[in-house]
Amino acid sequence: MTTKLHWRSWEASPPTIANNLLTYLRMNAKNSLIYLRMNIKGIILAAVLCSATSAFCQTESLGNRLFPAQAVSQWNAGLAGGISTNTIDIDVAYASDLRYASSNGFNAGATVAYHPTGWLSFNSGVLMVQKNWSLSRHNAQVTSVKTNATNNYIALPLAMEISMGRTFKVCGFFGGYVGYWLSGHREGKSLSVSYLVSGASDDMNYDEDYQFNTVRDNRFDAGLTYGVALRCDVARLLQISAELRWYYGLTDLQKNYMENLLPRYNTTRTISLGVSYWL
Amino acid sequence: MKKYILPLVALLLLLSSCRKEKLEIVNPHHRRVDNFTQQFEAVWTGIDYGYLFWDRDTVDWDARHDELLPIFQDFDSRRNVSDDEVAMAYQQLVRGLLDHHMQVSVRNLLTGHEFSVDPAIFEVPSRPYYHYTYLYNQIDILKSLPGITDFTEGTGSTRVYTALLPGTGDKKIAYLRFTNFYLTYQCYGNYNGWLPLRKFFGNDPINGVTDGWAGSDDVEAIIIDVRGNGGGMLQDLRTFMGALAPSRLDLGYSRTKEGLGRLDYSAWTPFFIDPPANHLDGSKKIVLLTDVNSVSCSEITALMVQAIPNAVVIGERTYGATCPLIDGGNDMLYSGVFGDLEKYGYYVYTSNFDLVDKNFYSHEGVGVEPDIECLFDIEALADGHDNQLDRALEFIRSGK
Repeated sequence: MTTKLHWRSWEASPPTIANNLLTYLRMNAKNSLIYLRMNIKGIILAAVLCSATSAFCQTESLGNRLFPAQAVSQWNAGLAGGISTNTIDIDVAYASDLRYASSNGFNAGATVAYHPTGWLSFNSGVLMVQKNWSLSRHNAQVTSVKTNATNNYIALPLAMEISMGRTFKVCGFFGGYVGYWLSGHREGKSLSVSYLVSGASDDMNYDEDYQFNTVRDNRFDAGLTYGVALRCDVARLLQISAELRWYYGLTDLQKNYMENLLPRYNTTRTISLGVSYWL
Repeated sequence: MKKYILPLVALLLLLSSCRKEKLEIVNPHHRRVDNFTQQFEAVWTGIDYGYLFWDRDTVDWDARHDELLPIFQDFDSRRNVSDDEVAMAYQQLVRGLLDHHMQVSVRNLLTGHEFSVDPAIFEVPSRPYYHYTYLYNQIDILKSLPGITDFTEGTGSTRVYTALLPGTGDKKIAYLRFTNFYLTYQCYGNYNGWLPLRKFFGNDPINGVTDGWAGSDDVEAIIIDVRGNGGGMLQDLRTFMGALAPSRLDLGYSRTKEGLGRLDYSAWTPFFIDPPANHLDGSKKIVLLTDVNSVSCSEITALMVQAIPNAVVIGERTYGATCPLIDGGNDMLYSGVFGDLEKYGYYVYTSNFDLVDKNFYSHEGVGVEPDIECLFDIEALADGHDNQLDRALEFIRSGK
């Protein structure tokens, strides 16, 4: 409701920059009062979203006014980065005390998008994505064993994107990706025979670069990618975006090296902010 | 736009189902079996997921399964299956595996008879230097050596022998031989087997070298004889063999399984043994005598001696069961001993700690090479000479 009021006020009186700012502040204050009067406790999240929407709309209007030509090309390219959260989907069979947990990491890279129409585009890029996980044991006899794994992947996604809006867009995208497992690192604590012989518990820690096993490790990575994004043209040639993306791996992390192989897959969620330039 | 969204969602769901399905696997450690095929599958699966050496074993385990499954299915279709047939089939299953600790014990489900097979049963005897260890003949020769004093023989399941042999000048050589590594038990059990240990290490052998021969200034060198020693408890390594070392012994690295995939291993962590509080200072020469029947802890002792300055291993390449195990470790380490012969009709004894030396060389299935090779000479034994003990004495006296 507040958004509609907002637009109507602009239609009645086309804004200047100063007016826009004043309107923005006034409307936010007004919005807040409306919500308070409604006595709806616990709806703070809605208020925040509303304010954010107002801000984006304001920006759209500002951009439109300053730079009437929204985009000068069908292509844009830029940089993006953020955090990644990976979950390893693994069949542990009867080794039920093995607990794999999600771990956070980073993602960063270059992005590119092609916009054949106003509502359809294709996004792609080259990104470094960390797909990390941790392992612990929940066995009364083995409680100290743990592994924190860092895995660096390069990913090349290609997704079809459908958007709503003009300068400020709400987008959904779906596609596929291919990637490569570049490197890894492991640190943690392992069981040692020294403990059995000497009762020594030190030196059981390890912290080392991961050595790939060419028979087991499948370094080729491919799967689905999908997500949602908010994209906004903030200036004639610049677009900023916030993106929530999933990489749903369809390639087993292991080669098919044994008959009854227990499969394991990565599912990675990334949240990233990006800035791109209209070419 | 809606006309695109629904097909895309459908495509997403369709593609997301492309992941492999999870397998239904019964834990082979606790699997009840009703026929030969199930027994075979339990043994095969337990080794498939829990065997420690798939990274370097050359046996095609999947092919073994395909080759032998029809044989066990045939057993199930018959009323009479001889013990020999079952034993031959299981021997064929494990033939060529590296693990020299491995022993597969099964029950013939028709006759009720139980028997064991193991991969080393053909490999070790096929070595050109293989021989039986003539313990009692060698002890008789030891007792008759000129100048020997204080020969002491313990009793009990672990046979322990000690003696003092003449060295250079007035110095002595302390000799210790034992048939397996259950010395700690001997001490706590207060068996007569403790007596020779007290002479060698001192009155409190559990705490290392105290007032025994090994620490005496009159003793210039030590001979530890593990020929024919079948191994035993890991704890003995530190308590008794570690007491001969002047400081921590860095022996290499160890790892375990860390999952059920054949190549799911933990990281390598250092394998070291700290000496007990009372230990030697490295000034005495130490000789370890080994032969082809020195197994497991005897072989780790050989690695320990090779890490001690002023110490050598003399004799033969050992048996090749260098990677230890702990009983009941399968639930803990996803490897090692599994099954229960009485309860389920199968039991597999196998390693669950992978060991390599400091150069990441594995001695499993191969054995530890001596520093000075001296092969057993049965003709010399028949003439009343223990040529390997003679070589040890020569090394101590001559220094080469």
